Order: sequence, then C-alpha cells, then structure tokens
Amino acid sequence: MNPNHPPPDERRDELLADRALQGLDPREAAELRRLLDGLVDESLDLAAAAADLALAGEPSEPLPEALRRAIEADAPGRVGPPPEITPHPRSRIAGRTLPWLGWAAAAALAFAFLRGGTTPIAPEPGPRPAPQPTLQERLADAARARLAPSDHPLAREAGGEVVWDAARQQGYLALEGLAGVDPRQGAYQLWIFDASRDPRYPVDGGLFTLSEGQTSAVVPIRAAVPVREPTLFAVTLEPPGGVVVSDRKRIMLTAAWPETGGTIR
Amino acid sequence: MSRVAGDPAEEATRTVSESILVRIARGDRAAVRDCLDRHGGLVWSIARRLCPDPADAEDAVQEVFIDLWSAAPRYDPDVAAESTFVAMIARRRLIDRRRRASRRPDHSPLPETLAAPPHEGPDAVERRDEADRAARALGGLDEGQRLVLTLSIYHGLTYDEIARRTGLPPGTVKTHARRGLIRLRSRLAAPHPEPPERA
Repeated sequence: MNPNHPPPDERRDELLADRALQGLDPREAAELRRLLDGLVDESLDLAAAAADLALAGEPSEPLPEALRRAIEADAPGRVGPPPEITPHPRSRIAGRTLPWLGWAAAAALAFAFLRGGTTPIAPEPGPRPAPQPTLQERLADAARARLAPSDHPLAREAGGEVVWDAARQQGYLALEGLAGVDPRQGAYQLWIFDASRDPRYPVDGGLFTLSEGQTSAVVPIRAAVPVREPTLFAVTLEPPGGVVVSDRKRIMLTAAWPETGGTIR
Repeated sequence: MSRVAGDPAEEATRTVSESILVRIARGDRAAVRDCLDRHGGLVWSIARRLCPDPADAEDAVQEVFIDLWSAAPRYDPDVAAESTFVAMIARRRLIDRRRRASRRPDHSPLPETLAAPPHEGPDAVERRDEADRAARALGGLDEGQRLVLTLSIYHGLTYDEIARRTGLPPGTVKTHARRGLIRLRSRLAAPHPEPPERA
C-alpha cells in the first residue's frame, strides 16, 4: 500500500481529526466532503470538545455583561420565527430631497472587499399580519440614512433607506425599486464598513434576493460580527450564496453613515 | 458517540440542559437568557484561551452564539451533552477564525504537568459528567497521545508548534493527534470507560 495514499476510511478519519484539532483548508474540506458523501460526522469534533471541557475545568470567568447584553439584543432576529415584515412606509421618505451620495464618494469609501463570512437572509417579500411589534416598529427611533443607487441597470430605479440601532445591533434595509434577481443567478449582499476594523474587511451584513416585480422589501440586517462605528452600508450583487471576497464590480446601493445632512424624518 | 446512562441526579441535570437548545430550536427566545446563563462562561473561557486579544474574543463569542442559534436544531441529546455541543461549536468557530487570521495566540507558559487533566471537586464532576468521562478517557491514552492532544486542544498549538515544543518529529505529532483523538472517541463511546492509567 502506498503510504501517501491511505485507504479512504483512514484518510477520512485523518481529515476528521485534523478538522477537530486544527481546521481544514478549502482543499481538505472539499476532500472530506467527498469522502463523507453527504453524511455528517461530528464524532471527533465532539470528542475534542469533551476533552476541552475536561482539561479546562469549570469556567472561571463569567461572560462580560456588556457582551452578554449585545448577544441578547441580537438574538431575537436569529432565534425563532423571522421578524414580521410590513410594507415599507413609503411616505416616510417620499418627497424628500436627500443628498446624493455620489458614486465617486461611495467608491472612495468602498474599500477592498477581501473577506468575511456569509450570512444568508431569507427574502422578506411582502406584507404579513403583525401581531407583535414589527422590526420597523421596534426600531422606530433608530438612526437612518438614505440609500443612493449606483448607475448599474438593476439599481437605476432603486432607493430606500438603511435603519440601524447601534445599541441593539439591529437594523434593516427598506428597499424600493431594486430589480429582482433570479436566485439561481445571483443574490444581493450587504456590506457594512466599520471604522473600528480593518477597512479592507467590511462586515458581511447578509444575503437576500428579491423576486421579479417586487417593488419594495424590508430586509433585516444580519451582521456577522458586532458593528461598532459604521461608516458606509453597501449592497452588491454577487453569485448565488454570496461571496467572501467581492470584486466590487456590481455595487447597487450605498449609504454613508451617519448621513451627511441629517437623518431622514 | 453513544451516551451512557448516569445516575438520577445527572439525568435530571441533563434534562434541564437539553431543554435549552431544544427550546431555542423551537423558537423560544426566552431560552436565550438561559443559554447565556448556562453556557456564556464556557464560551467566553474557550474564546479567551484560544483568542488572547479581548476585542477579538468578544467578536468571536458573538459569532459563536450566532452559530449556536442556527445549529440548535441539530443538537441531539443522545449523542452528546449540551455543554459538549456548545464547546464544539465554539471551538469550530475559533479554529476557523484563527486559520483565517493566520496568526497565533500568545501562549501562556505550559503547565508543569501536561499529562494529568485537572481535578475537580465532586460537585463539579457531578454537574459535568461528560467532562469527567472525557478526563478519564484522556487518562487512558498513552503519554505521547495525551501530551499532543493537550497541547492541541487546550493550548491551541498547531502540529508544527507542538513539534517544536516537544522535539517530536512533525509526522509523529500528527499521528499521535489523530490516533489519540480517534481512541478518545472510542473510549468515550464505550459503555464503561476504563480507569485512567497512572503515570
């Protein structure tokens, strides 16, 4: 037997062990997926986790209170049924003369998109009954800024606003006129530029799609990590499933934060 | 990995633990607070150990809980204790972050006795039977495997770093790690784990 090519079962266990202890690179992860052939095997990950618990003993330090509050504030959008969505209140922004966020200015702020996890967001297309406060109602007092379209054909008629509550780490995009996309062809992805982080690595705000003919939608923001000092929200069109590195060729909408000229009310 | 039936007190504790992720999977948002009460310190301690920069650790912990909310539906109490499942989610995220960041934590000095898992008081062991079983299973590994797994799992060292620290050839480190973990899995799955070997 060639020692460089162990039997599949042995190689599978090697990769499972490496995943549990060191992580896998993309090539190894793909190889493991092939070897598992659709099965899920977390037995070695769990063994490593059990060993971790045994070696570490009882946690000696509680979760910091501020961090706990941030996690609790973030959880309602992720645990349980999706947020209730109502039609975007067009009157809130209609008729306002809002400062144009020039594409050149946006581009200057749209730093290198180099990495970041993807957090799929279910499309939130239409009105539904809202027995409990909607996301918009819960964030009625949150800061907001106008979304300005690029000259991309899909965004030509687009507009709307971004609403963000820094304390709750919650927000949403209220979109109008952004063209629908076939989810087999692409998805919109939100990026949040955070001054407290490396500007090359905007925070992934989540994926969403819009169906053909859908003229408005409210999309909850699902930031993958805490956003401390947002400076720009940008929506791009990406391949299905989103990307971790955007080529920045198809930017649809941007909103500087905080908006120059005040909030939209 | 099979579970072993414990005594009634342990079963009661397990039932309480199970309910949290099950409730979260059902969409019970009130379970979030219970989850943070029960597992917040665990996740924070793993993050602080494997991610020494406090700001990075805070980001990591938030990511861990985001992962946990979405992973809750696939938690199976017949396979692992809830704390083990939570630790697995935390470790996976932290390992992934470390790989992506391509940087290593500043490791604190290694303890004098690497081979011996820390001892806990009887109450803690009773609360955390799976950790206790894992400690006994670790104790049953041979010294080389136990050393390599301790350096990898607890101290977060890479295979190459373990090789440099121990003087073992890198290939031996990998073999110890893989075989040791596979053997650990077997021992954890055994109905009656063997008593620990004494050095």
